[in-house]
Order: sequence, then structure tokens, then C-alpha cells
Amino acid sequence: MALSRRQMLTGLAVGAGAVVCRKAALPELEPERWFSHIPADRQRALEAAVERVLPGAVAAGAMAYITYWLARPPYIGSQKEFDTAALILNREAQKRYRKLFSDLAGAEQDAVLRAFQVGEIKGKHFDSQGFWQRLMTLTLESFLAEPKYGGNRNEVGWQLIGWHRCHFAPRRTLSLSPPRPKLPY
Amino acid sequence: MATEHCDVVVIGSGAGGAPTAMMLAEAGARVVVLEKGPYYTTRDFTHDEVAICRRNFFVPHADDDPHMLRKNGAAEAERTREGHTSQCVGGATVHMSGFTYRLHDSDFRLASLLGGGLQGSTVADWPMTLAELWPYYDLAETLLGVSGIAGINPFEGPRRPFPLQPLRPHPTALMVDEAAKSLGFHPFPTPRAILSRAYGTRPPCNYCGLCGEYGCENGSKSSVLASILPRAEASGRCEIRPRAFVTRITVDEDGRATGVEYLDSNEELHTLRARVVVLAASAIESARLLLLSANGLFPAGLANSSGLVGKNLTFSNFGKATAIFERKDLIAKLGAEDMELPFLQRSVQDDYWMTQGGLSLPKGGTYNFLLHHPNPINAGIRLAMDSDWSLSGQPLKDRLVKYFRDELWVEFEIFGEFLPSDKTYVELDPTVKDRWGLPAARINVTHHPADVQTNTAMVQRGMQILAAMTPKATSVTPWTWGSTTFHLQHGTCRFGTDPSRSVLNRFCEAHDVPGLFVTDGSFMPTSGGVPATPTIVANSLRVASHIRDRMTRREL
Ligand SMILES: Cc1cc2nc3c(=O)[nH]c(=O)nc-3n(C[C@H](O)[C@H](O)[C@H](O)COP(=O)(O)OP(=O)(O)OC[C@H]3O[C@@H](n4cnc5c(N)ncnc54)[C@H](O)[C@@H]3O)c2cc1C
Repeated sequence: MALSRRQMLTGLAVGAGAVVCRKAALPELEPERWFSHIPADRQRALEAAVERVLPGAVAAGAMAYITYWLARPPYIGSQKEFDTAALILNREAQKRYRKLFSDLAGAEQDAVLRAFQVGEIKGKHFDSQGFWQRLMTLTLESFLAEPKYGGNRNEVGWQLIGWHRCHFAPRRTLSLSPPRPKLPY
Repeated sequence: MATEHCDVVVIGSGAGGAPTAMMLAEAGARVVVLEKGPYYTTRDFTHDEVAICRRNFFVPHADDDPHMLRKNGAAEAERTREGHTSQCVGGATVHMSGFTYRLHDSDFRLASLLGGGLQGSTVADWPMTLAELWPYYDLAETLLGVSGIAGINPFEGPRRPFPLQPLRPHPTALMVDEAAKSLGFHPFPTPRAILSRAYGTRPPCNYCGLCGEYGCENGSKSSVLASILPRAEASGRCEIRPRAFVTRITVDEDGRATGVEYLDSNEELHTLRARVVVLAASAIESARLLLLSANGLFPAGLANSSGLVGKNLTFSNFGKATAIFERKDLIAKLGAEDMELPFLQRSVQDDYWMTQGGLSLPKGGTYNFLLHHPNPINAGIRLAMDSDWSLSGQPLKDRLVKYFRDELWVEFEIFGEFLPSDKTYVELDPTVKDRWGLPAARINVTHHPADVQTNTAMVQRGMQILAAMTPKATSVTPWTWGSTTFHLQHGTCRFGTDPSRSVLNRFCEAHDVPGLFVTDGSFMPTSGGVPATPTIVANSLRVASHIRDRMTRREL
């Protein structure tokens, strides 16, 4: 299911498995460790994909961020989707270039990911377009969110865009002098 | 569990519930407010974009407390969080943006102005005039704390001054003023439920800019949580019970309202008896609760002998366009000094009633000019989406930097008339249940073609203003038109004089169920061309004064 504009913009989008009841869907694995429990070639495939979405995101902690949220609503149930996606990334890379996804050149990786973006890759229980949008969303979130969720390490994302950390305070220094004469109100 | 008694039980503590609770408690009634969500304080309101805006801080998840949505007559409904206004003490006023306009006279008699109606629409006149609501708008603005300036908007009748002077606008307001005036429009400063000065014990706005979708950590946004509910509690006669989910409204054998049943946070069921029941759970959830309260006397749902509970649902008709400016051009014209101010603060109501263009619905609405929401993640995702999700890698990163460093996005949003019809309504879903095992609300939405046409014309007209701004924008792009603002919802228990064609009487008491009042947006037969919160607050005060007078006379 590709997501409507408003759903994406407000994060209202639900994870792939969100229809599953919350308690029943809790994975057996310790949720925070999902990523470290999938095979190494799949870990590398996902890392490489995240890095193609936003260079620098992995070093800024994107995988920790994504792992954290895949264990929580509204993404509960999406761990399996990400696992499957990693498998498909490698399968497509093998098919097209006889290599693992993480061993491809950047342009080759982009070509594979583009097939996800336009929904070219079909799987029985796998929606490649929906996955691509969730991957982009979580990667962007990881890079620009509060660092406490594991991403945006040392606030690198915020530094890049000049966003100031700001709990309980104005975001920027303002002069609140009276309006300038050109603007009567 | 023993049965408790009080004078008035209020279901939902938002824009519709809080004013009635306050007024009746101050008049001497013992009031209990039952609120499904938690009781947040200002300390809970951080600027954590993920937690507050993108997860379930205000709005529940679709997996265990869903709405079901069918658009344009689709057979399948999708699971969604759309249509939940909010779940917390103070309701959606806590995370609203606080644009605070009044209705116009034309909103009260749209059917008549359309010559009796419009084919395919169930449009109806209101059984009340703007003049009747006017003094309650004054009271609502005073209680909330609204800033603005009277006398500039020629489309609003004479009004008394706002309690507070307008907020300090971003300098681009000058450009909107110049452009709009050059095209014959009449821009005016947007009234805002945000304090420009200290008000009572509440401090003025610190211009952090994170209003819409956030709670205000400063207490300067005039949610009912910051303004009206503290007063209600100070009366000593109003108790607010958070995490109390009302599952049924009860009636006696004569069909009179007797109270409610609710689940507390331990999922224990309680019974609360009251002389007066006030329902204000938002237009969608209030209709749902009435349908869930069906019983032997009311097999089709409580107060539903007309069959109209849940029908005539309207939202606000949404349209939006974006103009991208180069910061350096703006600074050259306006100076750098105030470039970081967050509010543009200009509105235009020239197209509230649109005579040009031969539209079959000449009823437009309001243009609200504003800067793009400052949220960084939201911006990143908008940039990705604007490219159909094809922008990634270094180009995406560069685009993000350019957005924040070099650009300023000026937009308008439209609050437009959404025509009621028998294709837009809410009902109980036949299969999907919430986590308490109760049928979820199923929302059906199909826009009337005439309101899409009018909204589209408005987007085009608004874009002329953006394009006329100098220095010139590098691009002016429509974002959406004829679409739906789900958190502005009305109509599901429309009020009227004829019990076969309305659910509530003119004082918002159910025709069928004496002692049951509905004070959220459900009563509104038409959506109006502005967002409805001030209207809901004002009407709630109007209904409360009626209840108070009847309670004093022992009629209730
Ligand atoms: C992001 C956002 C921005 C907005 N901006 C504006 C704006 O700029 N201007 C404007 O005019 N309006 C704005 N609004 C709309 C405004 O918030 C609503 O119009 C208003 O709050 C509706 O009032 P209400 O009483 O119907 O519902 P609410 O204020 O949402 O209150 C309903 C309450 O009932 C509770 N409830 C629901 N079911 C039950 C139950 N069964 N038992 C107990 N409690 C229950 C809910 O938890 C909720 O707290 C905005 C809304 C949002 C979400």
C-alpha cells in the first residue's frame, strides 16, 4: 500500500504489519536487538540502502533508530518486512550483477532501489513501494529526530540544517522590538 | 461498583466539553468531566517531533483504536487514525494551531442563499442566527485569550476589540499585504488563540513557532487546557477524570438521559448518574457513542429516531499552494532582523462568497497565509514526496540544506465549505473493533463535485496572490485542492426545529432524549468557511447558559 500524502507527512502511516494486534505481534527476539540478529549480509544490505537514501545516516545511528522503532507502534510487524527487503535487495543484486547488494557500486545500488521506488519488484506479501517509503521515512526521521532514539548522533543532522536544540525555549534568538513602521499591524 | 451521582456529566474535555463544564460548575452544579485521554501538563509538552507529532502522543494508533475510512464510495475501508481529533484533557485544542475566526452570516443560511438547496447536497439553514451567537464569541475570546485586531477585515461585521493585540508578524506579511491589495483583496491579521501579552497568570508567546501539532510548554496557546479548564477546576465543583472512556449513555424507561457507563484505566466499568448528560467527544466519536448506546427503546441508536445520527458529516474543504522564496531576496527587501519570526499572520476572506466564475457553489471560505511548518522531519519528507520519492542520496541531502539555509516557503491553506451529502457519513464498522471490543467508527467521505470546483477556483485565486508577491517567488505550486481536513468535523447530530429532519433542538438537546445535550461540532448543519473551534466554544457557552437557566428553574 503506497501511502497518502497526508499520512506520510504527519507520520500517520501505519507499519506493514500494523493490523496485527499489538501484544500478539511482539517478536520473540528482544526487540532492540532485531538488527544484530539478522544475518550479516542482510545487515549490510540494509545499511547500504539507508546510506543511499541519505549519506551519513548510518554513521549518525540510523540502524539503532530504525531498530528501536521497528519494535514499537506503529511499526510493530515491520521487522519481518525489513528482513524480507534485505533478502530481496541481495536477490536482485545477484540477479542483475552477481554480487551482494552491499558490494555493488553506488549507481548499481540506486538502480535496484529505483525498482523498489516505482513498485517494480513484486512479492506475494511484499509491497516494494511501501517499503521504500517506510525506509525513506525512517531514515529521514533518524537523521533529524531527537538523538535520544539512537539517530542524529551528536546532533549532526541538526547541525547540517542549522536547527537549534530547543526544549522549553524559543528556537532562535529574536528581537521583540516594536513592529517596523512599514507594517502597521 | 457502587453507582455515583452528580448533577452534570460531561463526556470529552475539549472545545465542546470544557466551556459547558466551566459555566455549569461556576453556576453551582457538581460537574464530572470524563475524558478518554491522559491529563498532560506543560511539562509533558516537549519539542520532540517524533514523539509528539508522528506517534501517538495526541492521537491513538490505528492498530488498536482505529477509524475505518472509505473514500469516494470504495468497497473496502482502510484502517486509519484520520478523524481522531485528539485524546487528552483539553482535546484537540491542545495541539491546534489556534486560527480563531468567527462564522459569517452566510454560514447560517446557506440553503436559502443557494435558492433552497443544491442538487446532491443535504445543505440546510441553521435554526439560529449569527446575532444569537455573537455575544458568546465575545465571551469565548475573553475566556480563551485571543489576539487580533478589529476593524480591518471588511467581511466581518462590527465587533468589539480583541482581548489582546495581534502577534508580531513575519516581515513577509508586508509582501502578502502588497500583493493581495494590488489584486483587490483585503488582507487582515489572522486572529490567533495565542497570547501576545501576559494574560491573567499566563505568559506571552515566546515565538518558538511549534504550535500546530504540539502542546504549548509555555501555556501561551489558548487551549481549553490552559484557559477554561483551570477556571472550571478552581470553582471547586468540577472534577476532571482522565483515562475514563465512556462506553454507553444510559436512559430511563421514559427515554430520559440518566447518566453514563465508563471504563477507567484499569478497564473497570463504572456507572455515573447525572441530571444532565453533555456529550462532546468530537463529531465522529459522539455519533459513534450514540450508536453504541442503542437499547430496547432506541434500537437504531440513542436519539436516532430521525435516522440522522452520523449522517451529514462535514469536514473542512482543504486546498493549499506553496511559493518558494530565496531568503537573500527577502532580506534585501525586508532586512534580516525578523526573518526568524514564525508567524506570517495574514488572512483573506474576499472569496467567502464568490460571485465571479459562475460556480454552482458560490460559497468559498478563508485563505490563511502562513510559513511552512518548521518541523525538520516533516520538511524532509515533504521534499521526498514532492519528487514522488525519487529524490535520495546526496541530492536529497543538498536539497534539505538548501531548504533550511536558502529558502523560505510561504503558503496558504484554505478553510472552505464542505457540502453535506448522503455520501459522507459515519457509522459503526460491521467487523472492526477497538481494543475494548467495541465497533470502530467507519467514516465515508465523498466530496460533492460543486465544493471541489469552488475549492479549486480558490486555489487558483490564492496562487495569483502568491505570484504577485515581490520579490518574486522562484516557484508557485499547488499542493492540493478539494481535499479533506479530517480534524475539522461537524454535522453528525445536526440541530434543527423539525425532529424528523434533525437530531438536536436549537439548544442542542436531543429531540428524543430529554436531558442529553451535544456541544461539540456535531450540531452544525453546515461546515462554514472557517475552522470551527471558536464557534464550538461559543455555542457550548450558549447551550450551557440555557442549561444553567433551566437547572435554576428546576426544569432539569
Ligand atoms: C493539528 C490540529 C490543528 C488545529 N488547528 C485549528 C485551528 O487553527 N483553528 C481551529 O479553529 N481549529 C483547529 N483545530 C480543530 C480543533 O482542535 C477542533 O475543532 C476542536 O478541538 C473540536 O472540539 P471537540 O470538542 O469536538 O473535540 P475535541 O476538542 O477533540 O475533544 C473531544 C474529546 O473527547 C474525548 N473523547 C472521545 N471519545 C470519548 C469517550 N467515549 N469518552 C470520553 N472521552 C472521549 C477525546 O479524547 C477528546 O479529548 C485543529 C485540530 C488539530 C488536530
